[in-house]
Amino acid sequence: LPFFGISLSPTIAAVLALGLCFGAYGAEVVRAGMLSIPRGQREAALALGLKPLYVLFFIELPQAFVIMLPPFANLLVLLLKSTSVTALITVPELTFETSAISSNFGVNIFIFGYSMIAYYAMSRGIFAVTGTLEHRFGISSRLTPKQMALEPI
Amino acid sequence: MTFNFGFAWHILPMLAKAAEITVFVTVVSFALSLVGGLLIWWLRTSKIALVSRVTSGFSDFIRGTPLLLQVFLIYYVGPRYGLVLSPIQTGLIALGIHYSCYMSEVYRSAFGAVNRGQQEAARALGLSPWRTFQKVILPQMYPVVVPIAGSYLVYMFKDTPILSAITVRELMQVASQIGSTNFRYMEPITIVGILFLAMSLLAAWASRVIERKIAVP
Repeated sequence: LPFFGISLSPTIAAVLALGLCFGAYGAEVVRAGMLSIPRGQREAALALGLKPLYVLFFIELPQAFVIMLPPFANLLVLLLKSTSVTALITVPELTFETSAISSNFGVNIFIFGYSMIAYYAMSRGIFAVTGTLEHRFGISSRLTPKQMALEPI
Repeated sequence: MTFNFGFAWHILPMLAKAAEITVFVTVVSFALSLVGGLLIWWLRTSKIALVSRVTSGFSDFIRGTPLLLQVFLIYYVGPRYGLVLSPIQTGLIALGIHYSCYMSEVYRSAFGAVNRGQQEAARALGLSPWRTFQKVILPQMYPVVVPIAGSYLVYMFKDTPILSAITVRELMQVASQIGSTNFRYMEPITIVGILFLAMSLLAAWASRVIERKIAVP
């Protein structure tokens, strides 16, 4: 990209790349969520004379949101782990600092152990938050296998 | 900066060679993760509470931490404890373990999808536990496992560039080397992108074909 006259800092480039990539995955999740809402909901709402946009935001999305929660939690954890890849373009994040510290002070299992635990704690945190949200919105059903694996393409 | 087809043609053989390594790593570590996933799943369902606790904790931990960090851990910390591995071996083991933990979840959900009565009936008919699993349960697990395993195959494939961080000479590594020696990043990166897209589409298509083959009518 710099050859086209666009120079981005590593952090901006990382945010853009991850954002676009996971935006695409997120779109799939939203699509699956919206498809899982029975057509009748929309038709009934339209038949009652509600505006299409109103139907989208107040009838369909609230229902789809609950369904989309578990896959979005998975996606978020996947994203969290993917941020480590940005270390390769020298974004000063956890993995980059970990390898920097270990090359400065000698390789030590504790340095890697600490940052692994930090990542683990963050992903647990995400699941804790979304788990509470799921309970709050009244679904505690287990993930179906289909939801568990996001389609890679 | 335009796309130079002559240069692209010139570097194609180098990239093709690197693609071989990428495919090799993907296939071998996929096989490892299929077997490893089965092992982890088996340990998780162990009757001994300690074993199942430790295994599920391990599996959760691996799935909660990034692959890149695990690769670094094995590659840089391993030698301190006498574990000296070549970059490619490290890559195979790291990818294999990482996706074993994912596959174990797949097996678990597939097993859950098989009706419990099936197992009870087979046992009541006098089949041994192993025969029950092998002849009754496993064939019914395939339809659930295959599509998800197929998508994990594509994920693994897309995770191989991470191994370029520990100097495995796979596609991404070779592409950026070509880029830095010739000051032309446009062609190598584009070709790598196209190759990755083509190969993941191929894998997805293959998985869909197998899925249709084994579908229970």
